[in-house]
Amino acid sequence: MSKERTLPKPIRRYGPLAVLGLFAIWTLLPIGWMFLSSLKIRKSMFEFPPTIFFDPTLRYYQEMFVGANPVTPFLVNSVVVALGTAILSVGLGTIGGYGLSRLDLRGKKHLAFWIISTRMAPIVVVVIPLFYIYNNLNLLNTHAGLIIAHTTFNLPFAVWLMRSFFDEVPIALEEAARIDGATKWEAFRRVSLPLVLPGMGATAIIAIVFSWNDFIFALIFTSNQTQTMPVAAAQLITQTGTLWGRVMATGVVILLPMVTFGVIVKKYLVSGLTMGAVKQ
Amino acid sequence: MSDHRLRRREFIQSTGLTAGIAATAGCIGGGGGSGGGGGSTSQPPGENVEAASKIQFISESTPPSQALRSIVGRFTERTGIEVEFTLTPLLNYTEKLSSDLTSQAGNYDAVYVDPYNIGAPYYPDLEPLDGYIKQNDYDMDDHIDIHISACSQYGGENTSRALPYDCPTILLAYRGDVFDEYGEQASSDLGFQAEPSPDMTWSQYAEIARWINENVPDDVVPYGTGHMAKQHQSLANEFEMLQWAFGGTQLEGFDGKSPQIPEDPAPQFTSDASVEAAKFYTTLVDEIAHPASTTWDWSGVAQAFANGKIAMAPEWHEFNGLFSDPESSQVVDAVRWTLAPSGPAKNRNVQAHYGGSGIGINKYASDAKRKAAWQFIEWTTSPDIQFELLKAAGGTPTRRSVYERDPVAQAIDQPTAESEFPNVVPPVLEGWKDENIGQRPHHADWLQLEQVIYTEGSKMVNVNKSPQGAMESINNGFSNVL
Amino acid sequence: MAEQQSVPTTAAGIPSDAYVGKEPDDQGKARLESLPISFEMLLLAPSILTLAVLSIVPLAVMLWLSVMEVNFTPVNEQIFVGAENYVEMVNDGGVWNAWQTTVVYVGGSLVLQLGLGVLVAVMLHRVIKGENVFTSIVIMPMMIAPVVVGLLWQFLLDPSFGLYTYLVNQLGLFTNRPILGDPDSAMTALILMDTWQWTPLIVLIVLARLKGIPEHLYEAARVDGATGFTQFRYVTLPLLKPAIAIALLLRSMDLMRYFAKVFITTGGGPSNTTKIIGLYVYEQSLRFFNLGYGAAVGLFMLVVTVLMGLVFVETIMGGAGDDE
Repeated sequence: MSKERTLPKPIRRYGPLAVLGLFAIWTLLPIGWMFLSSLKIRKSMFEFPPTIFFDPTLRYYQEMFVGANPVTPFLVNSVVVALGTAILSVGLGTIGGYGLSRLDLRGKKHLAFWIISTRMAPIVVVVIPLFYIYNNLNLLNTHAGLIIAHTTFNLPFAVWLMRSFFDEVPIALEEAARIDGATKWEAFRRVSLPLVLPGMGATAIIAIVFSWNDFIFALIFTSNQTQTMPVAAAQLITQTGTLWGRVMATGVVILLPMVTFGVIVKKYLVSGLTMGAVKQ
Repeated sequence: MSDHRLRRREFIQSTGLTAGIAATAGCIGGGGGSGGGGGSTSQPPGENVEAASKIQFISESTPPSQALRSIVGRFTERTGIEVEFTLTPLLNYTEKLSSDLTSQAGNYDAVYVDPYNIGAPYYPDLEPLDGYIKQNDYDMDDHIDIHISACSQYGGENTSRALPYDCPTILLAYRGDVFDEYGEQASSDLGFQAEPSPDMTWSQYAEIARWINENVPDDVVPYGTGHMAKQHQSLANEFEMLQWAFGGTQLEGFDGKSPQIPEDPAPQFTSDASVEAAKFYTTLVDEIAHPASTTWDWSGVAQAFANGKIAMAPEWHEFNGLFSDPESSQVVDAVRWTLAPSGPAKNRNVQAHYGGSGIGINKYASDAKRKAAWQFIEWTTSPDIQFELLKAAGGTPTRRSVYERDPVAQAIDQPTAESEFPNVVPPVLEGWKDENIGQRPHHADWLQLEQVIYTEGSKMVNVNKSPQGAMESINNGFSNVL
Repeated sequence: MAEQQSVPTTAAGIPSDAYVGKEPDDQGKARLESLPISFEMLLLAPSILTLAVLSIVPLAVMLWLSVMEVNFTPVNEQIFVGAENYVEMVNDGGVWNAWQTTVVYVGGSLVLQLGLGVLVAVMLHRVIKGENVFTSIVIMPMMIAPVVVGLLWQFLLDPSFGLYTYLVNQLGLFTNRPILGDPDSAMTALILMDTWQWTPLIVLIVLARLKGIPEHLYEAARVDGATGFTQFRYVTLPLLKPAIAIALLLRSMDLMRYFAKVFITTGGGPSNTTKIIGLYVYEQSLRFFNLGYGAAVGLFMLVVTVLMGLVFVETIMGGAGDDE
């Protein structure tokens, strides 16, 4: 790098492209390979050296949806839980984030930190007490239980993220509405809220992604009727070996919707994943 | 008994109390759906109780349980009882079921009972079955003795807490084609019969494996042997078998022949025999076996064997189902089985490792659920269903009467490729005999102890630690847990 | 020991007490139009209450558990043992090993992700066209469930049929050693896995910051004769510091907390070389049911994470972006 000044022009021109190209390949290769492998029959999947050309089969996808143990109930559970926690987190997080943004209070910093610190707890610290509480409240193996568990990590994040969106709405707008006779609630409801709608959408989607991808909570709090897709994927590691074809096909089904979401909310993704610390 | 139940309840409520929701939790927990309060009785639910129409069954995701799931419709047809299956990998199953049992949640009604992970530590939470057995004239004596002592009875009690359900056993799988072609040459080079037989010793095994590495072309088979030496329970299982064969043992006063443990057992890994076994195992895995052995658990070894990469391997016999399936296996016509090699030990002989399991009833399930669960486990372990599971290359029968059926008796002597029942081709009946079997102790902390074995064992085969050092570490690890 | 216990209470507990206690009484009476308490606080209250129940309660339970020995077998009992679990923790080689492993895992991942992330971001900033397509591609791994990432990489690295094993073999490496089964390479593989998944986040964070650097700063530097690397070193890099710090802390917290990838691929092996602290606590608590001991180690882990978070918020985000 230190010799860059003396680098010939072609390198300076194409160097960045080469780096980016390599990085894109490194990123895409595993995903592409998973997609290819999900279409391979068993024998070509285990060939070494690996093959690129083969007769594709949709067998694993077929097995997955119409076979003896279809993945559909898991898919439904995943959707129910992800939507549930997204609605809960974004609902509470929006009003909470607004409150936090506009709050004028000494020690607000500590309050804000406490909110986010609840997301830092080691998983086990949350899981064990929740397990016993759930047991007493009959929440084990219910969708509600898993939704609440996922809210432990989605709500703090939603509050912070929504707060960062509200921080960007000029207070002057609300003050103008107040002068026109609006109550505080109306100022929030009619002036600020519409301006952060895209932010709410992004928050919801990122909450869905976190919930959809969670493994440990789903592993512990669910059984047959409530298990989600990542648990279904892990169950393909059986005593007699991993069912790689199904794993690859399940992986594709798990990642496709999320990758689509990611591209849709790309504009907000950085903001979302840094909880509002970085604006794109 | 009631005393200990009370204290457990206290614990759960006190966590609820600390949680500040004791008022609600107390009520809901007490009255909640499971009706677990009646669970302490050892009498089966009376005639007036109607069996539940739906029960939950949790099991490790094993071939018999998968096969069972595919035929459970017949049970529902006959009895009107629906059975929901939760099948997960061994450790997840252990975690889920132990959480359920210790919290008395009663979410799972019929439960797969791994004798070491669940049976030994949590047997008081399993419904005693003697009353049911008597009431229903269940023919317990038809089960081969070893399965009853290994899977049904715990804690020195004479009470059945589970019915024998499945019985994987580690034996030796090898490639017949390799020995048909090169056996003679190997025998004359080595000076003893090369093809594995019950008479083979471990040191001969190592020599043959080395000979195959050097003399058999790679396109026939690249390596003589492969092992399940991943940091996984598999490593512990394989090593335990060697340890017994070499005359060593895990716990003082425990000999691998009965699961009973002595009072206050002390670890025995630093005995000469154990250290010899450790040295031998390290050499075998590091210098002779397929180098991927340190990443394989039992399924990795099976995959490699099926793909033709190794000529011999100690393996759970039920993998013969995989080996016999032409779609997954290149060795359908070639696989043969015998007892595992014997060790130098004078005091005992171990040439097989027991891995069976039972199926039982959660004590905290309601009367109706327990009644339905009994019907399910009774059906599951009946001769007809054991036969069906065998046919599906799922389970292996634990009942004498199934082995006496003509098709099964014939299958035992056929080669894998011709046999309709690949699971009985390996010499399991021979392996279960008292003079050949080795089995682990019913110790409440065995799961954790076994982790000590395979963690330190993994260090040993990855050359981070000398065999001597590893054995000392295991001893220390055991002392910490015990 | 007392120090370790008191930290989470001050970090997470006290502020909450200060606010949670007062609000609920007023909540019911408050009409939105006539606000006896601050309107903002009212809006925040539901979130605070929810989080209080979902975090303070478990924390209290864990604190209680951490001074108990909970036995389920053969007899169920809870014995008060005071600081014994904490003493055991300090003397437990397994815990120390887990922390060492964690430091390697977190440290290695951070270094690699930051280096690669900054490089790619800087290159991307130079390229005029195609940013949109490029970023759309590289965000994909972040969206994938860790379980799937673990399974996928296990497939890629499988010694007998893995694509990456094959590619690495072509370089003459690992022909005889399985990548995930070798103590020297298993951790590296895990670090690469996480790097694959999360470097894109660093790229995006750094890129956002790069775009915010005014052009005139570069011009001024050029006037002073700084170009190329010198310019990067003395102009760009210092300005990237806040962005890098954010990336660093976000990643380190998640690396500590989540262990699904390790859980799926190596399970902590070989030879415990990948047993990170999160997984260790999980095993103690949920596999072996050493609830008391697991709670003690888990709480200590919480303290470390919260302290790291405190550093994050205080130094990087300017005190949680407080406007006071």
